Amino acid sequence: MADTAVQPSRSRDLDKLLLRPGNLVGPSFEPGPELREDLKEYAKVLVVGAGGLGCELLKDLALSGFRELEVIDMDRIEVSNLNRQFLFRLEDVGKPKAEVAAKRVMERVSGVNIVPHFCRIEDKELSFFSNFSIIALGLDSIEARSYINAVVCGFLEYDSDDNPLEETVKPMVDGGTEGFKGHARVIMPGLTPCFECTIWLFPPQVKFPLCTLAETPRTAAHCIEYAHLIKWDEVHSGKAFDPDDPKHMKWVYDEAVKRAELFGIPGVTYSLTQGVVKNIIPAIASTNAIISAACAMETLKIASGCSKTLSNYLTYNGAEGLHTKVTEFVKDKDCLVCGPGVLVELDSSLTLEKFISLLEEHPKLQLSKASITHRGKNLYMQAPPVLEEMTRSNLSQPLFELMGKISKDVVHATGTVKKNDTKTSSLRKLRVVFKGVDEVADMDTAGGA
Amino acid sequence: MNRRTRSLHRSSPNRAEPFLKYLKPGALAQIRDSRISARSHRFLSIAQIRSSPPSSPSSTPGQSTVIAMDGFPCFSGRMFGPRCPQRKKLVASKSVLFPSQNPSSPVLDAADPIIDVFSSRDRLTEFQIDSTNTNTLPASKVSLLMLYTTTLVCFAAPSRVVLPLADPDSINGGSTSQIFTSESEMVEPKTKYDRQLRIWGEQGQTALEKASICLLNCGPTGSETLKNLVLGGVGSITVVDGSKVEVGDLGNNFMVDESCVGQSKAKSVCAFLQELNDAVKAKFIEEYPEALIETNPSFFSQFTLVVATQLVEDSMIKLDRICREANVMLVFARSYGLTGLVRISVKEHTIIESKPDHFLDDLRLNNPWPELKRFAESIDLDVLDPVVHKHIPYVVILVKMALEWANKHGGSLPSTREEKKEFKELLKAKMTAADEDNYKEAIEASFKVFAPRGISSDLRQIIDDKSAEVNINSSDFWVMVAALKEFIKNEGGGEAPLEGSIPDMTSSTECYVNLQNIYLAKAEADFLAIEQRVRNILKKIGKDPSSISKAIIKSFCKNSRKLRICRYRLIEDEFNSPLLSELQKYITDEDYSVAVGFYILLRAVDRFAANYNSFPGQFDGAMDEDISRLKTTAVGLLGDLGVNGSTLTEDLISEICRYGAAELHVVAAFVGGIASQEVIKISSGDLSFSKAWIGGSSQLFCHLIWGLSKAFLPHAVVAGIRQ
Repeated sequence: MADTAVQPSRSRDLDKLLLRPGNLVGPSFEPGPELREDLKEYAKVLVVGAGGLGCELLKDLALSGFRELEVIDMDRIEVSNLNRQFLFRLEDVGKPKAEVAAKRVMERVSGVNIVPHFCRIEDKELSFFSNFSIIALGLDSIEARSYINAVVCGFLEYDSDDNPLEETVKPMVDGGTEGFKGHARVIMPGLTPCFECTIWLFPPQVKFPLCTLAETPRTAAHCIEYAHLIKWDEVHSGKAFDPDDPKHMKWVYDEAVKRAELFGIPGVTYSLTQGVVKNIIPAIASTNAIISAACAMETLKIASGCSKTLSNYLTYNGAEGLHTKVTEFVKDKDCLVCGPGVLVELDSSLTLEKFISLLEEHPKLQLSKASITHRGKNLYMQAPPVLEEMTRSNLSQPLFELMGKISKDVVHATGTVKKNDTKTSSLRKLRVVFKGVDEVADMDTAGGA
Repeated sequence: MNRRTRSLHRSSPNRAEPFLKYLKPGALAQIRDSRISARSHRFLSIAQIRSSPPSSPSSTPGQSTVIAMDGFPCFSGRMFGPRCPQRKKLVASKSVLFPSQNPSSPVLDAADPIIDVFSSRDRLTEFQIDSTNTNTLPASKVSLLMLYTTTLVCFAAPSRVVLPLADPDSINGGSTSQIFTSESEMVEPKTKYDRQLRIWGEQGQTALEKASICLLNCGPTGSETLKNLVLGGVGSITVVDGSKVEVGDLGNNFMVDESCVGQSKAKSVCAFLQELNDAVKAKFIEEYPEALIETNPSFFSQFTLVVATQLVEDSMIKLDRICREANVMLVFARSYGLTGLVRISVKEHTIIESKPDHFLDDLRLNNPWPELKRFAESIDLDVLDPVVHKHIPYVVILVKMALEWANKHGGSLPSTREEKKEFKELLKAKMTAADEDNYKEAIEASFKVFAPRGISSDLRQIIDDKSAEVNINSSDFWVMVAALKEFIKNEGGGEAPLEGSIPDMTSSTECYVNLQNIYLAKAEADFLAIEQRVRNILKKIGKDPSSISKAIIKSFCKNSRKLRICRYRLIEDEFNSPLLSELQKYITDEDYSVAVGFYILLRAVDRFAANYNSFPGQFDGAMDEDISRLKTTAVGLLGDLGVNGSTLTEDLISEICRYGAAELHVVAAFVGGIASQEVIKISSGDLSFSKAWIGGSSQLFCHLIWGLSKAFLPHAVVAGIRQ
């Protein structure tokens, strides 16, 4: 191996990818040392979650040329994490995941700077999320994904032709695993489907009808859910069940055993009780490693253009042999979260009442009896009567005033739509622009970058 | 870097402003909090929630669907409500369970370190190694450098003692190790492994803990493979690598850091791995794998499985022969630029508990045995009490209706489309109210009545396999297959033993439990018959009749419809006599041409390396020359394989040269992840009770990193496997 003498570099292998031109690369690829340095200096990546995927993601990104990383997680380390969350040791149990993970990776990969955030994602201001070039998600809950998705799609702006403004597109990479299966996906809000566009991908969760639990239990899970959802409340009136309190769990288990004996149902174990009550998802190191690696690779590809990005949803299944599939999902153009909504140009003197009647006449909307909300505030609610009364006084005021005198913003309208003689209620996203009002200075400068 | 990213960065301070105007900080959090608490009361309040519009201040641009979900029934298509798993708790458990010292707790095999010293010494003599001068001995290709001095025995230390390498105190077994021992003893392995025990169970875990794994080359691909196995609690690992840590390794391997530069890579990686799980016995050998393959083939027979990473063709072929002969399982893994491969080489992998995702339950609705028939007949479908009527389990409904049909149709069941439709209509006609879930389930499950009787063609193939003609050398698996074959022919009446479990279904508790018992009893009877046959066969072939445990036979019976066999071709056969027609077909298939192209090129680079002493593009400056040389090499290879008329695209050839044999961390993590998963599957497989089978993957090309949908090589190309 001839000229290893050149100069030893940490980025020996990565340099081949980042410094050399290629024919099968992304459209924005500009190979060279500058790219490598830019990646270190400018590409800030947020890793959401410091669990099975998050630990891997931090390691993978730190070894993929990224220097500026931050990680957010609200959990503390538990013993059952140790079979896969390789940055944690037994002595770390009880410490915040984000802090330990950041520290461990920084110890081993010199030059990498990882800022940990031990808190809920909702506790962060929105500007926090806007600071990152790419957000990588290593989460285990649909709600948390929905939240981040909503925040990131909130940054998205559209031009007057309903095309997304490229500078407002904040890429997300999302991974998820369950046992031997997993998925990795790339979300370019406004360009590829967002999380809400394809929310149906998540299978419905098994819920048992209460009457089955109460009257005709047949399986061990029925007995456990009876103890957990019915018996607990009967006995401990008012006291909330805490799945992390071993005493509570033991109580539920004992009750479930009693009920199972009563009905002659086999199979209630403590492990199953925990699994059912806490909805535990099985997890193994290898699947997390595979999915995280795919996500980190996509992050690198988005940031550097060194290869074509995944388009746009990869599923991995190692349960029966090994199968992968890439599906190109399409965006729901009417998506309430990432879609452009309906552009409505209004006079700044228009009252809320007039606005509501205008929605009924609007050819694209035909929304009658609309309730209007803006930035989480009810401007007018048709029902219930209490709220109607409370918001009635807004009707005579100009919408422009009610919206805080901003030249353009999004409002949401809920009402009924009549189609083929059937009425359905409908929630619509509206991009309201007031005519003749000066734009906020920086709003339209983004296009020039 | 992507322009977007750069510009985003530059403009981000400004960009923060418009975001803020959308939402007040914390507004979303409030909404979510209210939703979370709302959901936990969902059972009780869902009706109220649905009947009224949202009552809390809510709608915000990002959160609109969220609002919709709680407030508007019209969004049922996108409601997350009932199907959302509960958001994880806010604060983690306050205390970790440290049960009081429990010496009798299931402890992982704790070998005495001294014995390990001797055993390693034995090996030393076997290899004729100079262990006295380890520091100055050059790590040349042939010399075997094994650092089994007393200092290093700590890697072979008893399972639960962590002895940091650099800390001389701990070697003496002083207070440090004592503390570690007692602390780790307090943690139940059950708790630590809970999330994986839920997949492969305790038997699978036991099998994993028995595995003794040898890793060849501990670059990132090998290190990442072992990392996942060590975390899962594999029995022992032995890391074989002759190289020293270079600065370049710091950029792609997490297991080495600055302090390791210049030191043995095997030693450094091993030290990190040991830190991950002190229940695993970790050893290392500072030696080049190629040298071991050449000079000491018997070395490999001490392991249950060898993971060989980053080996070139010539060594792969030799190692494959050695392992096949010694009956050692072998998994190859290789990362190369943005592509890579994982290849399993095992003579035969038999699987009892294959746990397929979708498999028809074994209800025998089309072929009920007398007890089931009798039970069904004892129930009146036309019972007047509506509560009883809607709680007759669908199994009973279908058995009765199928019998009735067969009586009217000369013993045959519905087979044509019209007949099936008619059968479903008959079911529908039996309903007395619209809300009878049991009848809805019956209609949905009616296809189970239409399914053919007897065993599947897959199972037929297995019982007709040559190996089912057993002798003294037959494995337990094949002895049981022989018994199964006899059973099907005799008391099974053409059917495999009954599985014995039934799915949940609408039913009264009493009826369901009775039904369960009827299925269980039949399964038990079938098991006893098989067990008898197994014992007889064992006796006949000269084995101990009790050598196969009841539990294994039971599992075999329960899973007899799902048995799987994987057999892999030798690498040599794959390389020298490829399935030409398949190769030719896929190389021109638009979907697969890239995968097959990489397959060819990964072999071409090894030929290239053999000829020119470096991989194409490995060094800067000779790119153009390397591209044309690689092209010539690839064309030559295709010619030798007998693939004529198809060529590889220039783009693909330059892409491989661009990679220059780089071992990127993410690719290594991906390839290593797959390799470790396959290792777990094959080592907990065979007669163990775990989810363990390789199904279709004999050789995979992991450039799905490319985002192609057909990123994996079709199995037919290598045809390493036959089921």
